[in-house]
Amino acid sequence: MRQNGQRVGDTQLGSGRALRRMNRAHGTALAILVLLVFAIHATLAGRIAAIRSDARSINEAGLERMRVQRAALLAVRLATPPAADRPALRAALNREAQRIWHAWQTLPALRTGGVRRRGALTAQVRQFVGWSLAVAAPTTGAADASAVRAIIDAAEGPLAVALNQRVLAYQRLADRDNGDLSDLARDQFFLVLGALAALTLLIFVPLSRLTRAEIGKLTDVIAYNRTLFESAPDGIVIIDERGIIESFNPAAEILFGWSAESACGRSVGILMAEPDRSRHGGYLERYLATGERHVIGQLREVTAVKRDNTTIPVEISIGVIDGKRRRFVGIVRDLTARKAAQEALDAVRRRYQDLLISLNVGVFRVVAGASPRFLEVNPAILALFRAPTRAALLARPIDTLFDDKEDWATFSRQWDPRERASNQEVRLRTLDGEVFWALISAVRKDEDGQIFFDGIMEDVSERRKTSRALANLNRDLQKRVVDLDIANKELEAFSYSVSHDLRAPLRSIDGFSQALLEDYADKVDSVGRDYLARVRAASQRMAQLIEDLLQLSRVTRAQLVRKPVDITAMSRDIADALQTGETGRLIEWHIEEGLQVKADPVLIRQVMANLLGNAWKFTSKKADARIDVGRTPAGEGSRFFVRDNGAGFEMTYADRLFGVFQRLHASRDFEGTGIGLAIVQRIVRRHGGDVRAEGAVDAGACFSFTIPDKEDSDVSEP
Amino acid sequence: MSASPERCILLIEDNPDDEALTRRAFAKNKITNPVVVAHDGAEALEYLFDDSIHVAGASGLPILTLLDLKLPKIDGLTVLRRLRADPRTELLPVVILTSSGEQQDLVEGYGLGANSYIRKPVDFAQFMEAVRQLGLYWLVLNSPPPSVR
Repeated sequence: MRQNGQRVGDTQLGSGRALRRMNRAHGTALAILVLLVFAIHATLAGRIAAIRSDARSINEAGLERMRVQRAALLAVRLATPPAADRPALRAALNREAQRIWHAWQTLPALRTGGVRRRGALTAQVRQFVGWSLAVAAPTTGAADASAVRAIIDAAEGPLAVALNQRVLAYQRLADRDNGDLSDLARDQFFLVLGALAALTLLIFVPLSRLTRAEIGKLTDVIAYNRTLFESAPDGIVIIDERGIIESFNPAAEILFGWSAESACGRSVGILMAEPDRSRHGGYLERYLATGERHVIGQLREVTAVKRDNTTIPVEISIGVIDGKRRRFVGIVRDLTARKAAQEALDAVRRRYQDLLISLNVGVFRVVAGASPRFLEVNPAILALFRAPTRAALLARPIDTLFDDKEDWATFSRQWDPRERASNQEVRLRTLDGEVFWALISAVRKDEDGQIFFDGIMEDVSERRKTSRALANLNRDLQKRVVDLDIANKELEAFSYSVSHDLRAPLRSIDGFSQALLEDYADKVDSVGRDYLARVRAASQRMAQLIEDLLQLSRVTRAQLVRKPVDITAMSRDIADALQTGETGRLIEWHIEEGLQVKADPVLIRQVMANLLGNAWKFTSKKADARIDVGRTPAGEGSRFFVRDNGAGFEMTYADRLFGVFQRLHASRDFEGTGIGLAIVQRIVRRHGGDVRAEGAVDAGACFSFTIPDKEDSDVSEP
Repeated sequence: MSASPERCILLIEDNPDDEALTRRAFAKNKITNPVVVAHDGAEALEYLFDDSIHVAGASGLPILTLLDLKLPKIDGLTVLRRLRADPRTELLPVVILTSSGEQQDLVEGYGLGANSYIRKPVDFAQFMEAVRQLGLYWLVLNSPPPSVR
């Protein structure tokens, strides 16, 4: 990360205007500099040309003197033996004389005076050259001695002096030129110094100002980019052209499990899974060679590898930094969560799809409009319409599937938003034309100006058939209830008549028999009186029978009202009544304390009265009679019992005990109508309980019953 | 407060046997009041609302009315209802004397303002005893209401 700020600093941000301003200043400064250089150059060139010319003059002056002396030497040698080399010497002398003359003629004039005039000297030089040429003239003999003498004299005499003076004068001139040159050098130094100052003012001051601003901006940019880089939620990996990781941001550290230190310097391949890992080099090369962007600038989903070799799905986008060196930026987003969410969503969608497909109920979407059709249907719908293919059903206009045009009108009316979509039972037709009943419930959906109906559809033909049958059954049942009601009413009327009308004749029979006995006692003998007594007894017995039968029917009809009943107290009451009615008998009563039950008090009294009455009756011939009333076992759901040690009965006939008019004893032994136990059984059953009898002949009997503590136990006898 | 011998007993009874037995019981128990018999409900109402009775004053009304419930034409409970609805007879002592022991008859009878409810026993001895006590109570012990007096 450290190198990174500098890297992103390559970016040019907002420096164009400043640069243009700087370039203008730069141009001005350069122009001034160029002018200055030209000025200096011009000045120097003049001076240097003059000085160079002076130097040549000085040189030539020196050379002239040397040549004169050389010519003198050559003349001397010509004048003296040996003579053998004279021709060569003559040639040399001739050449020298020529040069001296030529040099003198071309010698530049001195710019300044102080030297002897040239004209006078020219005569002397011409004389000397003449002499020299004369000496050099080819002869066989020795050189002209006088000419030689003149040459030597001139060379050591006035010519030499003049030439020397001339050299000296030139030297002075050269000294002066030297002084001028050092002045020039000093001037130039200051000039350059001035130019530099001007340059500084014109270029460097604005440049530095500009640079400071630019640096400020660049610092901002760097900070900006660094923050982006470091706080980006996505991993950012920067690689160079060889695919070596240069930068690795914190998000990338978390994403890949590599620390920035350990990742930087490695190949980016460590982050890739095959086949990308091996292909990556190829992508890079191709891009670098052809500029063809295969992966750059697009989002791609790939599999990345973490440091611990686990793989994660990621989305990458690659950018190129075209700086001094080219780099690639990879922005990597972890798709694990998104993938997981997507997968979860897919799973849910699949589940719903499965549900729709496997649902036994037809699910559909209808698009409303000019030609309404099914848009989506599940397999159940296809089955419903017996469609061979989905396309066959989707192609059918829906209105043709309705058997009843009214149904269709109702269904399509729901396309009006004011109408509420709801349940509708309609007659539809399968694709092969068979009519069936269907229950449609649909809801209206408006999407993008289109009206849809989403709903479910069920074949209810069977259900309708069943419900119709059920309705019939119900009607029958209701009729039967009415019938039963009527029958009950009739029965009641019958009972009433019986109670009233059957008793009246009996009363007459009894009453007039009694009247006969009273009023005509003297006319009826003892046998007649006995007969009349039998008539009376029979009528009274019949009255009792009627009474008991009425009781039995009342028990069945009476409304059952449950209240807490104290059976202990009730039993004592009944026992007292029995004891009072027949004072002569001695009976041991054992009535358990705290016998409580929730039952109809009137009916339960009937039960206890009948059972205790029976016990009382059947112990009448017992000397040590004993009657027990209790409960076994104690607690709820237990049986109440009435036990006696009386005549008992044969267990074989136990079931017959509870039948109407069933008697196990002869009337002459024990009185009774044979209805009492039937009444007991009815009352107990109406309370939802049961009654049982146990006994043996001459060993007593035990009658027990249960009264379940339930409200809904009012079960009428069939 | 002894019973005036002229005051009659109204017996509303359709069964001639019962009528005879009741008369016999009265006689046996030395109840000497004249007995007027109405053989159905209509006859009973006709008798009770006959103006001549009322013109005759309170003494024209029976000192005791014995009412059977099961009657031809107009049944006993309706007769009772009509009696109680009329200011002239609303306080008339009415004893229901019937064969019926039905719960609903008891409830309705008392509900309509019967003064007593007696079930005719089949046993004539018991019947005699009942009539004896009836006479003793209603004709001797009981003070009749003012309008009937």
